[in-house]
Amino acid sequence: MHPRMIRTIFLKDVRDAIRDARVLVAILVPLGLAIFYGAILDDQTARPSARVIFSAAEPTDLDEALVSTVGGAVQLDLQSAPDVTTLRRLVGQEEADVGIIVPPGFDEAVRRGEQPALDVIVAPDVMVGGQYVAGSIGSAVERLAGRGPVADVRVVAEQPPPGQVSLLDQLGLRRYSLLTTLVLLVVMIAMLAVPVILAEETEKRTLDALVMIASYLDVVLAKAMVGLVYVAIAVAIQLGLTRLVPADIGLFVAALAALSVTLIGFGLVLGGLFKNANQINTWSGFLLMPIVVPVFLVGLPVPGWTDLLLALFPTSQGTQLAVNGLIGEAVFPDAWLSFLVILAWGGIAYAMVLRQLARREA
Amino acid sequence: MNVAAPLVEVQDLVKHYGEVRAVEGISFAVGAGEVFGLLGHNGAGKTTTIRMLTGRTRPTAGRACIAGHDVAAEREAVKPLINLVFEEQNLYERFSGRENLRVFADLYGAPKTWIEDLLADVGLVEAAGRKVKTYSTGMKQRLLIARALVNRPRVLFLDEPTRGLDPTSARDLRALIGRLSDVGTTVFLTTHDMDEADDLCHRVAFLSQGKVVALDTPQELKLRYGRRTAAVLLRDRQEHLLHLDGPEDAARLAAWMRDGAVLTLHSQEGTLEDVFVALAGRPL
Repeated sequence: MHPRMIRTIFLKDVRDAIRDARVLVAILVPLGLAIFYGAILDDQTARPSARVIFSAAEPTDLDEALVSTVGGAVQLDLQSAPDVTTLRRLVGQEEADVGIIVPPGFDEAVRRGEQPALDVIVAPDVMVGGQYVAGSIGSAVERLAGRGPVADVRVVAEQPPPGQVSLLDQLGLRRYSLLTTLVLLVVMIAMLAVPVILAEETEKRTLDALVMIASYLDVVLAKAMVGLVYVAIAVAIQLGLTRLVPADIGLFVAALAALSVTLIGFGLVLGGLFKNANQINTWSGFLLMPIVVPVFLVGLPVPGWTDLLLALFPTSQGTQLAVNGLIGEAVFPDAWLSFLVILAWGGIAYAMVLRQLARREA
Repeated sequence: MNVAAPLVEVQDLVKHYGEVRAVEGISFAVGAGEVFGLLGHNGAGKTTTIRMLTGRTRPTAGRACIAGHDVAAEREAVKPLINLVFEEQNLYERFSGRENLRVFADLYGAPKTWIEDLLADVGLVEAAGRKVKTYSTGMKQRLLIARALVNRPRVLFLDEPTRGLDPTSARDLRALIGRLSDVGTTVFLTTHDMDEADDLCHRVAFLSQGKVVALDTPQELKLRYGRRTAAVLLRDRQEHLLHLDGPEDAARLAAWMRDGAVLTLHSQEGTLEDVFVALAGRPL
């Protein structure tokens, strides 16, 4: 092993590979997906929302009563209209989900026990949030009148057992999407960009020129370093652009590092097996399928045997560790087992790389 | 040239790929500053021999030494002493010519100042900043040669160095090989071009079916295996091809000369191609 030569080949590859459209695509596609998801998705998307517009001739406490009644079930956006005509127009154009026309003296009349009229206008295609709000107005008026509910109904969401946590529930749609694209980014660099870089050296016979002075081990180590550096830079860029902040940064980094090292090992094996980069491009969809699919199944309600099978894959274990690191809780227990599975695969990958090297040297 | 102190020594070198016997016990020695040609048809064992001499393939048996170092056992000691101009134009096409040389100068630990000298030597100073993918075949070949000289090797291997080159570039390359030989670099080349081998090589070895079937200077080989003939044009415009070794033709020539019947007389020395046909039984 020659550190100076490894450094030279590494620096050459870092500059050269990024000019290769195939490598660039492998990095930019997951990054682009992450930026897209980060821009359009919201972690609160699963919670319904409603825009409610009031038209009141006098100050009213009905808005506060409505907020108290709806609680956290619906994300409310309360606004006021200057007059009834404007309110009707906004609701009619679906600028608001629900319009409430509060007549003069409404609050006092309700508190006196009278039954004043209250007009509620609902948008033509009102969504579930608006329907919920419209249905809650009666209870809000009762609350305004000082009459509490006839029963104290307490709704508690049951926590699923450990290991069967839905990632969507735990993370929200945005963080779930960003995490999966992050793992996809690692997979694409390790198992597409790295083998393409290595196979191109074989295809163009530049490998023969390198090993006139360096060794095959130097070349392979340089490619592994390129993969690690590309992963580190791309992950940092993605985290920065999407403002995704892991709660346990140490675990998060360790998970991605272990997964990267292992998958780069398999990338090197692929790069040694294929004689040209186009073959890798052709077969990449087929080859990456068993590596990528487990990422999207982690935490979903799947049959027991699938769960057992998933436990064997480095990407599913890496995703579980990354989830724990992102949330800062042991959502998936036995982190040591996850690391063990990833590193075991890494051991297999690098044993295969060493075998390929020994055959080349012979 | 100093054959007495050989820089390349090959003893009973054998390479088998399973049932295929690529090289079958070849032996020769090449001196410092010598230009040595390895000739043979496709599959004769030339490339396998170069692969063994450059340490890229281990011999099945026998020994090859460069400057006293066993190529197979002391690869690390041999690597800085040699370099190779590959038959394929294996350059980094997305890099400029200068960047290509810089990578290999760094690998060999050569001073950066040598890069500009090499670019000047091969006439690529003006194009040095351009990406290699915009180079012509001849420019790429010149860059390959510059790359192979980046470590100032004591033994330079060239695999079909003028293939695909225009006549001017080929002539320049031959001149460069001559200059390298003058400064003591041993040049070991394989070629299909017999005229090139004749022009450049101090000695040539013919390989056939993995064996060295002849090894000597081009002149000696031509004398030994080539035709000794002369083309005679007489005043009556009749042409005759005379075999100088034949007593009857010698007598005819003497008679024509005596009678003043000879208009022109051209000796037709054998060529290395004739030697090859004589040895291998078929042309290249």
